Amino acid sequence: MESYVTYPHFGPLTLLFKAIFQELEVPEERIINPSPPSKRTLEIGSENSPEWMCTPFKLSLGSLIECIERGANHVFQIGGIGTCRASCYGPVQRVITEDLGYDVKYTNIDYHLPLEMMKDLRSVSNNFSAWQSIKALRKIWVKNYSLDLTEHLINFYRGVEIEKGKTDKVAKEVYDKLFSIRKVKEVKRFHKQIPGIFKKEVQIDEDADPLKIGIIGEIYVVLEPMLHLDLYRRLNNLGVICRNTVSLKKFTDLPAKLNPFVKEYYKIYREKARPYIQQYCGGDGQESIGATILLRELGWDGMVHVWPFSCMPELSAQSVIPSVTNDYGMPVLPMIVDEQTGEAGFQTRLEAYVDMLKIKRENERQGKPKEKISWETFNYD
Amino acid sequence: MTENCDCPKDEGMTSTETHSKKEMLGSTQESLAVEGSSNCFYLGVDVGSISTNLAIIDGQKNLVDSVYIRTEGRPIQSIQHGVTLLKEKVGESFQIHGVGATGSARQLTGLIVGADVVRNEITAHSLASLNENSEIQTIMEIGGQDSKIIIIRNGVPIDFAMNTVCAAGTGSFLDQQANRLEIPIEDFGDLALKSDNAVAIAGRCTVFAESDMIHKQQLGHSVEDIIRGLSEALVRNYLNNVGKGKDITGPIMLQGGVAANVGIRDAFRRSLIKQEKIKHEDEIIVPEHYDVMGAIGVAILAMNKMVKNPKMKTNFVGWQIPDINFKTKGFECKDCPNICEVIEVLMEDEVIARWGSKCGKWDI
Repeated sequence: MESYVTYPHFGPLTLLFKAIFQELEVPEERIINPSPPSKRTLEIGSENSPEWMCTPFKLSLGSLIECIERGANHVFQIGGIGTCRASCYGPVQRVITEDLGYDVKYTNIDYHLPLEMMKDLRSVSNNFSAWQSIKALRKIWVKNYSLDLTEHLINFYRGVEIEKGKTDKVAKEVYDKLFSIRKVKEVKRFHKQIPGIFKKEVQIDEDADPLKIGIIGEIYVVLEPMLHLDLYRRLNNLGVICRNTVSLKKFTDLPAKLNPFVKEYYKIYREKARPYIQQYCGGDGQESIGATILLRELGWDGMVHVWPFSCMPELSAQSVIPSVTNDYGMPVLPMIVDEQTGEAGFQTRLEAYVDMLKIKRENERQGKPKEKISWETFNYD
Repeated sequence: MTENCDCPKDEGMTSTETHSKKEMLGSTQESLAVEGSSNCFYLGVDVGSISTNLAIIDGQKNLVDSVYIRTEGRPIQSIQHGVTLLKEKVGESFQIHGVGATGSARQLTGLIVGADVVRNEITAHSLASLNENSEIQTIMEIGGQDSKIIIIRNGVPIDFAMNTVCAAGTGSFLDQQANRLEIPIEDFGDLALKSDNAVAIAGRCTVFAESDMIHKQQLGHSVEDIIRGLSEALVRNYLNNVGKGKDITGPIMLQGGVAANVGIRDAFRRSLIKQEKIKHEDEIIVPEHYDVMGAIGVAILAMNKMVKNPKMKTNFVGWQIPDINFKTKGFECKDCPNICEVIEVLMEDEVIARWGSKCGKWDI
């Protein structure tokens, strides 16, 4: 039987998964790409999930079922040992789709086991050797850098752009270009040009005095617009520049893992979080705490903490956050989302939070002039 | 009627800056510093899930008159009704120099009354509280469907939390139980005060609280004891949910519809004294006009904007609002699987606004 591969929708990173299969030379017609999730996606996902399962599970299940309906029969789901319930997404979803009467093969991509991961990916490739597979994967993690960078740029420029919608247009061009390049060297060269492209194309309002807000929380919710209800765009529309602190890089960045001199951000976050949570508590719990502290030290104004209802690691973080707020004076707005979250309440809370931060900042500044905004001072990588 | 206010303005605040988004989001401190003349009047309209409140303030931020009615799921009618009542109180020739809209229906309200400022109710409430008493350290607000806490230091809000996935511990919880016991919600608080022996009620979830209440009734506990138990359950819920880990200190301002309930006030006092958050009962303050604080807050915001921009004219539609025929129409857009519910607002059969689509293609 010919295999038609698919994978769940995963925010902007969906492009990356698509690229993996392209690099492995899976024929275009045998890659079933998930469409952006809609209300229906969430509905079928919730209908077929255990009630108390977390929302990312429901959404990714819905996304997979939609792809299976379109003819996919080989699912690649991310999972692995010991982080949180995410590790059992694949196996549980397999049972559910089996019960629904679909004959589908599941492959769990476990980033803890690089060799296994390589073998799994090789099995769908165009008869690639091990070396060819590694080369294909390398392109992916290099593109992941650029993808992260572009996301950060969007969330900066969209908050201060003069011509509304310009940033999104430029971003689309950048994405198209990025995913049309096949050579690693050229990707790296293009990566260096990306900030320049935005600077040249998007005119920013020099008089703007935007707040700087960091987004922390569970990775799937932080990245998937369907679940965070377009949080970044909402903040940008309120004249705020923001940045997510969670990235898939933590899992995919093999060179950084092998090089002891590279300090990855998630490690810095965990170190900062140590006085509050000493041990790895699963998911992104520790990172949420650490990022709050780091961004405060860098002079940011506030944080929004988004996580799915019933998420254990973020619940651990949530109970520590009030002490961090007390110790560092960094307000954190908790936003717990699930498939039933209403948009009106979400927007009201954001507006009020932004109002509060503005008053607070004005008071802290005590008449000192605002700092000049530029991508260079905003970016802390 | 919609003439520009020509009263003397506070110096320094009347700089000739053009009106921009930045100014609309002016700070509390600024807002508190701004003062208009006593013969300029500003209207605030707060349309929430449960109640519709209108308030008129003068240039010194004193309340002139107010109206508090139930929304009952029909915001347009309740705004029109509210305006009619207010018109009867102040007279048809009363001039309004600025209007603000707030509450969960603020977008719709803004259109109907012609608001100069449309802001969220949380900001409006904290502004009104700080205006009432600048010493407060904590604002606790329990509305119909949400509860929130705002921590204030030196007159500046520094932390803020609101309930997210659960509405146990809000006004609706009490409303539900009052309904079931067939006691008017207005009498609820007084009944609670009559008891000196609270019955423990499982208050984590509204539905289970009801089961537990039925059980306690069947065991033979008096209604007063049960009501006091309920009040304590609500307070416990609030302090454990939004109040968790927050540095609550006095003076505390208690507001929102639930603040009217003397039983709840009492339960808060006892609970906070027990937890040593406050030393004395007086540290919990219920503002005099607790029921229309949102409207007062947004009226202050409107005043702030008008005083800062002396050349601006108010958009206030006028006292004829009740006579205008407003209608809303909804339809489902089926162009993509999101199936958004798009809402159209019609004024005299002319579409004046449309919203609700995710992609924004229907918006005007």
